[in-house]
Amino acid sequence: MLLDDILKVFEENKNNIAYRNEKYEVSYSTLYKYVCNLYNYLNAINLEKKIAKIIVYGNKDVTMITSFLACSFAGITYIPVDSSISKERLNNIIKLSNADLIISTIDEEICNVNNIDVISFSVLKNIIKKTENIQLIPLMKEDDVYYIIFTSGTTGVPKGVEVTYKNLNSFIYWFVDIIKHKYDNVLNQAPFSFDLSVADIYYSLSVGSTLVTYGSSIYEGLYKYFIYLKNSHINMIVCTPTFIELLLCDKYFNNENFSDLKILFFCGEVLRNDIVKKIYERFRNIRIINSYGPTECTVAVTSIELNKNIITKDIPIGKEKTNTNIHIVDKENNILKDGQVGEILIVGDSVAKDYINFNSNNFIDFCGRHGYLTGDIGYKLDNEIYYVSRKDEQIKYKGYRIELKDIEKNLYNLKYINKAIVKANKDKYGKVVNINAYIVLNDKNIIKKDIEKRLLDVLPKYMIPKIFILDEIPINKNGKSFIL
Amino acid sequence: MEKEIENIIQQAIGSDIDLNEYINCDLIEEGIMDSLSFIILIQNIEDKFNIEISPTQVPPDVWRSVKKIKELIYKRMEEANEK
Repeated sequence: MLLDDILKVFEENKNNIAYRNEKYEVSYSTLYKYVCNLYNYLNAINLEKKIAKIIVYGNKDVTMITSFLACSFAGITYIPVDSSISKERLNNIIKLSNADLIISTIDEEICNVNNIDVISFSVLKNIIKKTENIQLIPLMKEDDVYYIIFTSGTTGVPKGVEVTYKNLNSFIYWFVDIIKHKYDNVLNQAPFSFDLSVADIYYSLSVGSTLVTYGSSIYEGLYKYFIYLKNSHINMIVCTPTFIELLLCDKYFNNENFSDLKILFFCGEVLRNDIVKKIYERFRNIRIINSYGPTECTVAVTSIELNKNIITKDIPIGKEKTNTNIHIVDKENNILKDGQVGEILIVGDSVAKDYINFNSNNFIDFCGRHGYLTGDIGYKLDNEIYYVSRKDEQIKYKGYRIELKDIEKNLYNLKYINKAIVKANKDKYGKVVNINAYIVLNDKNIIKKDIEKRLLDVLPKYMIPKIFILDEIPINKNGKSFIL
Repeated sequence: MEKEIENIIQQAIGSDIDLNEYINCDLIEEGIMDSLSFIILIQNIEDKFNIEISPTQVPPDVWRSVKKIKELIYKRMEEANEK
């Protein structure tokens, strides 16, 4: 299993770099020491008081990876939460997840309303620096929940997806298999609270590569970021298409400057063929893999390795992974024929256990196997699967998955809002370019800034819509609100 | 010309917004200039004015201010005309 492989990697790669960011790097032997110490500490408190779930809070620091591994080896579920999240949303997650402990990996005080125990960053640093001789023994069992990731929910409350050790194993063995080679320097893009990061973190740890991260904002100095990437000899990038579009904005992102770059793995958004074309123009011999999967099915469940012939067509999301089946079904869950458009149903080892705080009809039993109805619309053709659209109001914006209803519900929680309609504004490719909220107020003294400020308390920054205050919402002939 | 440049910036930071609201604000600090705004801005400048901008070659402070972005576009257009 994965944790046994990671133990082997620790043993065989002692002097190799496990983790690098713009400030420092950490070898596998040091990371091993960190993990052992925290594992030992957690086991000790676990003896006094049973710990089932731990929130790991921070921004891509190596102590976050340390905490993930220490929890996993100790058989404790971890919940990654990025520090860009608002305090209220963090408190919400504390409540919803019923976590026993928070490990903070940043120098910032956490005010938690539930008064759960916190290991602060300064305490954490003292714990991991000890020099005791400890042996790591994996205590995590196959059916245990390995991590919980919170994602946007239509009710305005985030949903926690429970991914088991078995789910993660199934994903990572398949992922290493499709990547085929060992790439030494792997660039992480996604925050650790986003399940795309699971691919780069656990790929690196299970083959002994270096995980390359960046904690600062890249817009504050794109030149600095490019130099950092160049000096890190990046071989592989795991990212969303939007991220590559950003790098492609600059003509210096090319084969000459980034000659070590060999492979791109995409997930999380539709990959358009004009982006692929641009990549091939700059990097003639690069490998490009497109994939697809909701958080509820452990990072990704399909993949396709592209070639230059594909760029004139719609890009498929590929074939299903091992031990997982994908069916296109109608409303009664009957399997449709090739070419027919229907909902994408995922069945098998990748399907997560359930939501921790939410009863959903989307997790189903399908012919005796655990399945998940994705809400994504697609079809199969010539053995490849194609994604078409969403059947509801869930969108992808800047690579993030957002329920427009989540924003709407949070607007309605403000007493002075009489009516609110939230719409995604799309460009000619169907890509969301901004989110607009049309609002009618009860209290005319309220201004946009007040609403934005309140929303920031409860929603992550990327979910804050552009606000338009109207006197009334226009209604069309059928009595439906008529916007755009 | 001024209007066209303003339109481009407006599109990048969100449509239908009065640019005057943003004249004195730090676009990065306020979270207005992000990955998507950036992509739209650079692509639009290249498409509409046929000038090339490599973001890494631009002082990072430029992306913080509407005024500086305007100045950058004017400067690049002059340079292109001279050639």
